Amino acid sequence: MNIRLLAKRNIQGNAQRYLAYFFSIVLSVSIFFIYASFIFHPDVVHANIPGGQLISKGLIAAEIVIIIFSVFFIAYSNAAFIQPRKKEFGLLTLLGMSKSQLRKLIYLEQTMVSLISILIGVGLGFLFSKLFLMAISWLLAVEQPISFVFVPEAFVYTIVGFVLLFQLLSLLSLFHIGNAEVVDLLKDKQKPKKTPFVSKWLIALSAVCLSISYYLAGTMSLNNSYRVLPIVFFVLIGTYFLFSQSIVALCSRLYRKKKSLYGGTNLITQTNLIFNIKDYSRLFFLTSIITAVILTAAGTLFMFSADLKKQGMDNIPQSIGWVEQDASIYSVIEPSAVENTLKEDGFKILYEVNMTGVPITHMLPHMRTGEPNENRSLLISESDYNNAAALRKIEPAKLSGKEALYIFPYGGLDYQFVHKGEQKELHFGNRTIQVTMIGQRNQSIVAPIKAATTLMVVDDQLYHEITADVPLKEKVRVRGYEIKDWEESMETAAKIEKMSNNPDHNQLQTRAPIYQEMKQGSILILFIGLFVSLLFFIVQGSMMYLRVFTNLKDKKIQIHALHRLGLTKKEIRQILSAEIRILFFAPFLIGVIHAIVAYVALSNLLESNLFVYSAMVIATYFLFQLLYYQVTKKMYERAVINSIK
Amino acid sequence: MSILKAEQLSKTYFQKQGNLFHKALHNFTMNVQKGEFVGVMGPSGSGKTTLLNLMATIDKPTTGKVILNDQNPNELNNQDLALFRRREIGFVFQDFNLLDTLTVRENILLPLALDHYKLQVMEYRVSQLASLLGIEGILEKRTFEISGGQQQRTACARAMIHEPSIILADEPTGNLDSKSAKQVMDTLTTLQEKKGATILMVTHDPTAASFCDRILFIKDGRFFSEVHSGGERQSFHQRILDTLSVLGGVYHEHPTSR
Repeated sequence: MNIRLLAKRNIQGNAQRYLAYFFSIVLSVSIFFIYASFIFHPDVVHANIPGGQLISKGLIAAEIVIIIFSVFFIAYSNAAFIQPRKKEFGLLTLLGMSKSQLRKLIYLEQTMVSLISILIGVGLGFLFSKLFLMAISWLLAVEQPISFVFVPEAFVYTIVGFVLLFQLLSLLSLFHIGNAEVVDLLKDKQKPKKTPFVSKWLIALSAVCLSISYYLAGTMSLNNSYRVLPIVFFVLIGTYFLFSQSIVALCSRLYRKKKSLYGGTNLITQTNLIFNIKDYSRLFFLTSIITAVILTAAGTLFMFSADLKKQGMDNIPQSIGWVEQDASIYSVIEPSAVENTLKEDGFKILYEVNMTGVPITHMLPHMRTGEPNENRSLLISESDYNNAAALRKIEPAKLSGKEALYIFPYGGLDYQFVHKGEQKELHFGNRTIQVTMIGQRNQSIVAPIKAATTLMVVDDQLYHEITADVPLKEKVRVRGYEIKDWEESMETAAKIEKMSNNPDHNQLQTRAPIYQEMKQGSILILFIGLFVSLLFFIVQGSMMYLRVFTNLKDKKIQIHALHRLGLTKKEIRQILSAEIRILFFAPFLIGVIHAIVAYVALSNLLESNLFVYSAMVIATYFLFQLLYYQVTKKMYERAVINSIK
Repeated sequence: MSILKAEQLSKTYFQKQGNLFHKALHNFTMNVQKGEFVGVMGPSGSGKTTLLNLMATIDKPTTGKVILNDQNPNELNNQDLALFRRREIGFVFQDFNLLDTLTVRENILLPLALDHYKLQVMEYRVSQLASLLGIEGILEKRTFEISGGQQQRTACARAMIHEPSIILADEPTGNLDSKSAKQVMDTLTTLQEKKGATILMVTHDPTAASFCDRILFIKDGRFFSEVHSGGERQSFHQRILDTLSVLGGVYHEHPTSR
């Protein structure tokens, strides 16, 4: 029997413990491979696929995330594998195995597992990359599906990359075992675990950090989105101390309540928790952060794409809209042509907008510097605004005398260009009109194009005073048609675009094609992001699994003793599932709370109610977590209960 | 009154494949009276552990039956069997089997906690038993902070706390030095005398056995002989040693000792 054989036997003997680790590695390798085979796909490299380069950039970012994440996961797992086996290593040393032989043994074990998982991962990745390419082709709506070819670079990068990664981390993990004395190795298990140190100040610190970050997130908007970094910083610190301090404090409180502590299996489950809390707190911290990241990232992607229709309708007020610089004629397109085309293609017109206004200039502060700048807006009357607003289900404006309202077309930006009560001079030709601003609205009512990008609404009487002697020629006309089922109007929109006299493509706006483009992009991002989220999810579950199976031996001894004392199988199951339940769901709970705060911030940013979407994301995650919990529980129960008798 | 009866117990182990089998116990009959302290001795492989496992309801006999407190545990289903074990039997093991996540106090009251006793009852019984056995001082300690002898005395207290019909002790002094062994045997004797405990103990150790009222000798799965204590430990010890020497001499089988 040589060391290689011993290493092989060790892996076979510990197969159950290696299972989840193995599975996670295989998954990350195969996802890495699939992404790499797209990035290095000849069609993508030679830019034969529209949008391919962009996706490839996104995928490269995803690859980097996978690698960084793998480093942490593998390092954690290596440490977790070595820890419970110290006694075994001590015994081997006692039997005369030299340090270098021991290192060789561990090194060989880790290398074997890593090589097998890399090979299987690449194999699976190769099998599924066809599927991935098909999905991407479908999402990109390219006519010729991206062909399935052998991409040697993907193989080279994946295999060499992961082999190097594993070798490096294996060598690092050998340092841990290197310097310990034999006696320490042998006695490692018997050492009592210290009860962790708890300080009121650190608990307070965690509460303060979490409150600060929640407050910052809850009140975040596009203008102060630089807050993301401090938020992350405070969440990390707060969560770390939450688990290392508050949970410990909570546990000792539980421990003091003898009545519930001494009730049935609580005595065993609660003391087990308290005994292991120090090991758990770090794991809880890591997994709750991972959970929060997955939920927030997947949720953001999902909500963003789900919210797209609303964004499309907000930013592009009508399905078809255009601006005529000269209100007396139709130079861009004849309204009758639009109506006929819509009728031919069977679209029902819900309403139409037709308003005129005069272009004015006025001074507005610059968004970044705040310095006054000359700006162009379209002056329109209150009744015109209110008519269009009513059609778009927006509250009417109420103006009187010399009051004016500024309309900025894009929601989400809450920069205040004007203030309530501010005196403003509007310039029209060589005339100057004094108005009092009653505020600003970030909501478009007509196509925000050219002269009509921003609007200035004034009282009807004032409007007539100003424009009474302006000829129609000098006015600007804005037209718009809203139709039913606009999402399906892609072809019609193209036809209308073609008919129009629109050389710069910026006088006529159609909603369907823009929406379609945005939708495609966001689904692609969603698609790629979900893979990475899935990987993160599997890995956090694996960390739990690893933790559970690391203590398997001790647990078996404990349960065996309890069984002999007359603990029923049902109670044993209770004890085991209570132990796993807290592992899987305590970090989940904290992760969900973090994510909910992030969702609140997000719905503030997008200015829409994302409750339903966030509930869906959390529920989906919960179901997956439940599934992982059930599988782990079944395997754990089987491993422990089979050992009885 | 007989608490524990073993009637014509036989246990045969079969190999999973092939037709090799091993008769570990053969037509073994015994009786333990209430309040009695009975020892079982025999050489390795004589069937002592099998006997104790059958009594402990961890294993089932091939033929014959065990009656404990007028009940046949082998007629119970798994769930009830575990509850039966928890309520009717107290265990003392060679390797103590204390939970190292619990303090000494919690280890002792574990059987009561599992049966949802009232907190006051638990506290009362623990303090009473601890003062009887002289372990009040270590109640708040954890298992790794106390000596082997103290651990085994904790285990004895745990075996008695729920006042079971019988205490089964499997080599309770097997892992201990002679001084600790003496303390543990004193503890068991105290439980018998002060709390009226019925104890069945399997042991290798003649000194430990000399604390019993009566010793059953077992050899090759059959009853071999029986020795009664006359009340004087010194001579009882000597008679046990004599029987063991005969027991060890494989070919001179006597129906009784001496």
